[in-house]
Amino acid sequence: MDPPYESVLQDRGSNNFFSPVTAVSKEFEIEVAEPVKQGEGVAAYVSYKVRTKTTHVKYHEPFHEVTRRFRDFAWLHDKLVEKNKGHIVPPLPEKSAVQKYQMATDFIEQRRRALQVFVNRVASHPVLKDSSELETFLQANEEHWMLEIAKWQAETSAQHRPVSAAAQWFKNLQHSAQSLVSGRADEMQEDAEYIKIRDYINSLEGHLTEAHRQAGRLLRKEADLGAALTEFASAAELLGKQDNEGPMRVAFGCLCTRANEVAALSRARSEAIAVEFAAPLKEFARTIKSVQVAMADRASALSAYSQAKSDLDSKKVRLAKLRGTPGLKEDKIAETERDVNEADQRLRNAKLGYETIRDTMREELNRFQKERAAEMSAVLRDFALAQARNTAEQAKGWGELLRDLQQAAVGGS
Amino acid sequence: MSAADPLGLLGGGNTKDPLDELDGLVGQSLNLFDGQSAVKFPEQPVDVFGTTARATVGNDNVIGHSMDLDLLGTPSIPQVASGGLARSNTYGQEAEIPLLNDEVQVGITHAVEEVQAASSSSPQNEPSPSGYHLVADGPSTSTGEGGANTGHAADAALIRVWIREPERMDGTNKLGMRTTYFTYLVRTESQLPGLHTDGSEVRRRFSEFDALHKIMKLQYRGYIIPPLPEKSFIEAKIAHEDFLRLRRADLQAYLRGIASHPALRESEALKLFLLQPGELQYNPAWIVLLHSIGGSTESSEGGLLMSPGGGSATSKAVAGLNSLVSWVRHNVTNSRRELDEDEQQLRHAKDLMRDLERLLQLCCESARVMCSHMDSLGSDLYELGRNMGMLSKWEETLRAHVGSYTEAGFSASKRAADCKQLSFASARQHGLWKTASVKTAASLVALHDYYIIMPEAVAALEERERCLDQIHALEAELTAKHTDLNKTNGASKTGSSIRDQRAYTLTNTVDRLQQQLKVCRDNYVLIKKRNLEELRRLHLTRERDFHEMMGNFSAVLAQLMQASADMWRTTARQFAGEAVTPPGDSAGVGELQDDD
Repeated sequence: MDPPYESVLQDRGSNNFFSPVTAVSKEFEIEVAEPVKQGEGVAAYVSYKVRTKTTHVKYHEPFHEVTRRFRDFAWLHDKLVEKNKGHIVPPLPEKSAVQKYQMATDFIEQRRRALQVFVNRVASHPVLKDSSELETFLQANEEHWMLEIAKWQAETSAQHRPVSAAAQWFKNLQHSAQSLVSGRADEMQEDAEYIKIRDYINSLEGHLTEAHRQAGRLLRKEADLGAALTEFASAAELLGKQDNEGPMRVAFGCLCTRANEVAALSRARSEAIAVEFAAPLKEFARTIKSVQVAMADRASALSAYSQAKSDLDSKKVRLAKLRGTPGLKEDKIAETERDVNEADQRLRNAKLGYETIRDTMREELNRFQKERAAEMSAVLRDFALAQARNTAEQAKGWGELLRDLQQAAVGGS
Repeated sequence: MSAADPLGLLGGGNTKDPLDELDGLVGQSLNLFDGQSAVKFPEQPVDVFGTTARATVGNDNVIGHSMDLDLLGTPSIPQVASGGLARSNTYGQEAEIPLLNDEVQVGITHAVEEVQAASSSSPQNEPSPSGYHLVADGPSTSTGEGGANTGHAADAALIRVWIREPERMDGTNKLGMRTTYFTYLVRTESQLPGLHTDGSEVRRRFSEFDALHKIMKLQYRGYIIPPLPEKSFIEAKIAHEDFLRLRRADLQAYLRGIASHPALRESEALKLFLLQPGELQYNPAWIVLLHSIGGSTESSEGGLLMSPGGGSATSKAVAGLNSLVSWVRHNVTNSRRELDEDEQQLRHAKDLMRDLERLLQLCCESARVMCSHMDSLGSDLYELGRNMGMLSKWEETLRAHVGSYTEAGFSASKRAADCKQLSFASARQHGLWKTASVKTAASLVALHDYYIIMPEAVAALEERERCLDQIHALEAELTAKHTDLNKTNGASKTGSSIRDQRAYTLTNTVDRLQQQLKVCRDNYVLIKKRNLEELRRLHLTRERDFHEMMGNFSAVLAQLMQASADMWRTTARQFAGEAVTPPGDSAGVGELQDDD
């Protein structure tokens, strides 16, 4: 079953769940718990207990418990991205340096929940759940883990990534320039359906941000209304006080009390809703970025495929020319023939690479969309429920005021 | 709500569907409304002196509401048919109604029990010591109405006034210049004994209202006369549509205020104003009335000679001068007059009125802010709805592109449907909040009505004070003249003819002054009596109206929240994929059936 937004083990859940969409069996239940602040000053960090309950065949034991920190989750994420091109790896929560430094309780709690979601999503991904990285993450002991981390940190020293990205970009540029100049018409094309989806995903982010902004505005307005209501209640109370000990004083007093109650309630609820639904929206935005990473990988693979093809073609042309030139040295021809064969091999690899990613992504995008559709439904449903509860409570408050007023009218204060 | 599985899909647990829990909550609130029919606006659950006839008046208010829906403007506009003072008015008839007491609630108890009865029992009151226990000497109303038990119902329906159809007219004014002015149709239906009509309609222009107002202020000193909207030369010329609409509403509120005042509505001037067809300026009776305010020259002091106690515009100025003079005299000559207890209490009442005005203004302002927030919330929901609609269309486009039968297409269509649902939910919520904003403002209109009447109450009290000052001035003058007279009489006999003449003049003056003093004193007694009546009446109507107002306010908000909760709940169910059967009592849900 697709993972719920929050782990089943989490029992504070006022957040959302949704009906099962696919039939992937649930092999993992992972809890991220007990955040503990470690260390001092700039070097301080938070450690979490990661408890796993699993029925996965690769795992020897059904229960595991390890201690991990945010950096460790980042290891898992980055490794998975590296090793699984074309797959949509669940996004890591934000690496907010400032907030981390402040280490506010709220922030830690939000992060804990987000990390829990992350690791459970990984464990429910049809491909990623089988990965050795996940296995290491969930069960490696301290020593083993430290080794891994050290290795990883060595690999990801400053120069590594940016260079490769830049190199790739140059290659792309070069290739585009070439094809521009040569006017090739046989550029590899993406299939149409993918292009539409790709454009859709890219625009989705914008729409999502807008929706988030609007929702925020709405909640703020509700808060404003609550404040205005409180103001009004105070003014009404002052008005009532004019009437010393009379029925009006009582009645206005009731109004003031109840209105304040309702306003406070509304405010608390609105704030809670804002917090509750900020998390899924943010995670959704980050997931889109993951999707975009996968899409970028696909584009790269396509580009490499294209380049390999044009490379092979140009080499073939050269060979043909050479063969047609009388009196050329045999070893020159042989060398060129070797080139052609190598280029051919490269082309086949590139083609395989591209087609693998392409097929992977087709699966992934479908899965992504289906998941998203279901989750969005669930989020919206819970939002509606929360609002319904909010307003129902307020209705109750006003109803009680009505009763108070009636009693005041009937029975005296 | 348990975390695991709110829909009970995973089995294994007593997880309660949050939707069911919610039902309970919302249902509870509903119960409060049972048997009270609080859902409709005019029939408030706290219908303190409810009667069938009042329900009619209530309906009138609804008409007023629907006609004047743009309530969210400045609070200085009385949009709805007159508030507090316009209600029933038999209070004057009860014996000894102190201004503040607990026993009024006993009366209210009775009234609540007979919510729909045709006649309500008047509150039985006993004096209780507090604030203003001014000795209320018996029934002091000048309504001359029948027994105390006719019921407020009958009174309230006695005389009803509408103002409609502003019309532009061209004419020439006194200087012979072409002018444009507006007339308004004034329709009256009344069963008031002195003013009986089944439905007469006349056309009046603002200057005629103004004249009526001046006459009222003259003839009914001491009563609280509703405020007339200000004369406005420029705006009348420009004849802006808004201006006309507001002015019409103001004028209507003004006439209704007079029509429901037990004393004011007996006025001849009112009768002429309401019933006399044709232009009033050609009507002889009206012209006579006009003269009383027109400014016949008055002698200096005691310009109060005209009965029933009016002075002219000039004499008002003169009376003002008198006050100054008397103040000077008092401070220069002798002891400051000790004000008697009644006077003191009345002056204290005036201070309270001023305080009340200030407080009411605060309330009005914060009410306005609150309503504008509601309105703004409604607008935001509209925006959200619109954006969700666009999002839905966009998802639909994707689906069209990739084909409905692909997986991607299927997901897209599901998301499109969700967005569409949210869009509709937002649109409905938007409508709800917009309506609520208007209704809330309407429910709180009593605050505004009392806010604008406070200055008039202060003015009424000040009339009495002015009268007292005039008395003092006259008394001082009289004393002075007496002294002169005695001196003259006791002087030497030389120049006797001059002396006699002087004595003669002085004696005349003294006589005249004594007459004036008598009239003044009578006026004072009358005005004071009226002041007391009015204070009582004001207090009681204020209590009742504010009580009703708070009931309305709570009801409106409870209704809003309830409807909102229902809508959200329905929306939640839709997202959960459940089939929706519209609950019979939910206002906005019916529309759902038209969607998808």
